[in-house]
Amino acid sequence: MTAILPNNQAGVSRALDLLSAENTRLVSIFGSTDDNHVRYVHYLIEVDGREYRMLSSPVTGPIPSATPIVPAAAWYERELHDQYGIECEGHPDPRPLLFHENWPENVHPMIDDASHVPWAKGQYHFLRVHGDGVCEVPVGPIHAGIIEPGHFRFSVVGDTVLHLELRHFYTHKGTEKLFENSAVMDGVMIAESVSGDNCFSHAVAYCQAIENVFAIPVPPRAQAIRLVGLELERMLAHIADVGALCGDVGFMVPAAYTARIKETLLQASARFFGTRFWRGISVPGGVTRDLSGAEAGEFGRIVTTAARDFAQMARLILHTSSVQNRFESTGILTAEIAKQLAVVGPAARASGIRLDVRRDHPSGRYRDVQVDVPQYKHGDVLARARIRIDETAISTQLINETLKELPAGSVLVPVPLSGSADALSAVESPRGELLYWVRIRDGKITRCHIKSPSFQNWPALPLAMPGNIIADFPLINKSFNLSYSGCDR
Amino acid sequence: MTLMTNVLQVLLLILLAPLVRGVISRIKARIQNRRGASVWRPYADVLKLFRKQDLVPASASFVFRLAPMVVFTTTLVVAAFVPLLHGSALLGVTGDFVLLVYLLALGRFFLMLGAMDGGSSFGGMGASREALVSTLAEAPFLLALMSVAIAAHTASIAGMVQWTMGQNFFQFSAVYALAFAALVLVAIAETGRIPVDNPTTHLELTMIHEAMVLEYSGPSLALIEWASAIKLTVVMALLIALFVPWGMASSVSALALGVASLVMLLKIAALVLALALVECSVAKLRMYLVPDFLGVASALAILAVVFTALMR
Repeated sequence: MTAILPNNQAGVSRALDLLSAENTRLVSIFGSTDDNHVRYVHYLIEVDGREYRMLSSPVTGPIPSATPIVPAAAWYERELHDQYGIECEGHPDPRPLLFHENWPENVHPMIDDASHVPWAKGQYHFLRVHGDGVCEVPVGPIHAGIIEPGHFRFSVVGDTVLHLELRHFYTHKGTEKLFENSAVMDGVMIAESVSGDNCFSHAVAYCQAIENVFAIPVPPRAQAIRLVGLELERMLAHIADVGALCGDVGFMVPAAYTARIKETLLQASARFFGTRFWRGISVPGGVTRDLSGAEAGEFGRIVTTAARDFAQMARLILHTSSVQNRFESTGILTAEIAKQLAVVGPAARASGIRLDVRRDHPSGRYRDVQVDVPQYKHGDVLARARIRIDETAISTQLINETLKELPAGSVLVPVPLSGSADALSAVESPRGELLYWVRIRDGKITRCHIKSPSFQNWPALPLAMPGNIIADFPLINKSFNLSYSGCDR
Repeated sequence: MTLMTNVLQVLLLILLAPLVRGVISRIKARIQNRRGASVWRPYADVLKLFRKQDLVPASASFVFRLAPMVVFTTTLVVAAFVPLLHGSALLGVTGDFVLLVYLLALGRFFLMLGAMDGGSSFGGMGASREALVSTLAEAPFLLALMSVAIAAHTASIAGMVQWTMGQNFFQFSAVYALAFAALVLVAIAETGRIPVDNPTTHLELTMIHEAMVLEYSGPSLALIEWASAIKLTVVMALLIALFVPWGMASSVSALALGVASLVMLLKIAALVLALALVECSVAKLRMYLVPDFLGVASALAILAVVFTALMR
């Protein structure tokens, strides 16, 4: 699965060759340093939709950029430069990504000491759109709703958007750096903090990576409970998203009802697992809570009721013509652009790209179950809403099947706290492919790379905007519903 | 006694306006299966805002402070033109229906100036959208009122109301339905309700009216909020007075006025319920469909005028 290529230029160019092939998808590009402080670049590529292949190469000087071949590489290479100071020659947009103008250009926190960084006064240049009647509308980073910070700069003519430029990473916390030198068991808490509403996906992805490092046999019962948690998290996210989409078009009845449905699921989680968002449930070696047979039955009933209520609301939404009018043909992300930017998750499936880690790279309990992957081809807000509605039903079914046949046995096995290896693990989070790559040396984490679906999908949002009116942006943005924190890390 | 009644009408409109708003949001909350805030909440909001500091952007001129006062004053004057309990109003001159339309326009004009004066990009955006909506709403507003004026052979609102009260409901001209429909559509656009504008959204980019008042705070915001509540109630009262005035007092006696007040409350309650139901059952229009929405209103209003003129 992992190939270390000895020679700098040749190694990178082999990765670029592979990326230019038709049957490959860029998953991630990230850096690392080995024990002798030599920098490495890792290309993680999915081949034939079934296999993750990692090509790694030591780096001494600048490397050729993959962006001209795969536009999806753009942000990864900018991140690579910010973190490791690796130059990517031929990159069309070499501006810093993670760091804003207050960060000195020559400090790269993954290789330099970043504990005391002087305040710099740089300048950031937004793309300028010229022409008669072109106006710039800056929005954010502080928004009116209770949401995370991000800056959007629209170039508009009247109400029509010509160009949208994103500026994120206001919540960049150096999470990948934070993982360095932490103990294996402490890593879960960091992983859970990456993206609040997807915390269980992050926790499971991290735990599975650790379990892969140490080849820990996770008990089947724990794997089943993890599946329940992952699918419940997906339901919560999708139900909230569909409700929020209605709220954005002023259709308040489903917005209020979905909030209520979501709350019943959160309260059920609190009742049976002691945590509304499943924090602290997944740990390396299994899970910390078990369900009795009666509890499993009751939990399943609550989930079924919630799903039935939601399906009723979904019918109302899809049959209301004023809502259809708002959703249809709004914010189209074409399949071609989605493919070039290697978009993942519901946004990809709504644009005709059938990707799902649960089916393509199953782990844990997913190896034993059949997962339906819905797909729509229009790539508009309606398609993304439909994907979420369909997936909620599928998740309900998965939860019920799993709860009915919970394997017997324990839910937790001890983890050896020493050893050295690298491993990766992928999980289909509600937003799409979430991947952790960890390197353990003597029981300590020396590198943890998080490929978050939000980091992957944010660059696609501006390309769904041109031609739409600026008043539809909140709706289009909500239909992608990407995490700022998960992207910024 | 008549003067006192007329003063009472204006006071009722001004003082009950926040309650109408409160009831609408309470009913909407009920439909959404929520408990909702108290119906007295808008009063508390206005009182709270009056006690708060009035922040003015550093770049703003005197227009910014002036605008809320103009908005409030024009709305007050408009309220004095509308009969509520009996067939006359505090103010009334020949041709006052034109005055009413343009007093509302004057308030809106100053609100747009204030929004642009605030200097934020949202204010400008809201102002330009409001300009579009109000330009398109003006023609159907005037025409619909004019068709009633032609039918009633009078150009004063109170005169139209008295004429309508003298008509038999069951022999009522069908063109009134056209004028009524046109005015309802205009009223929705004019007061910034769903499906034209969403008064409860927090999404700046989708706002029309709310985007214009984003920079306002304290007493200025209180005046604007109160004025828009009064405007909503006045527009409702105008619809009732022009099209279903029956039940208004024909003589100025305590008993007749008491009955008229009750009937008026019932009619407003019916309108409030209808508004809440409509707002809960449709989504907001796409911004570029708002002209179509008002185009329908214009077509209806033109037909109303043409038919009324033909049938004289």
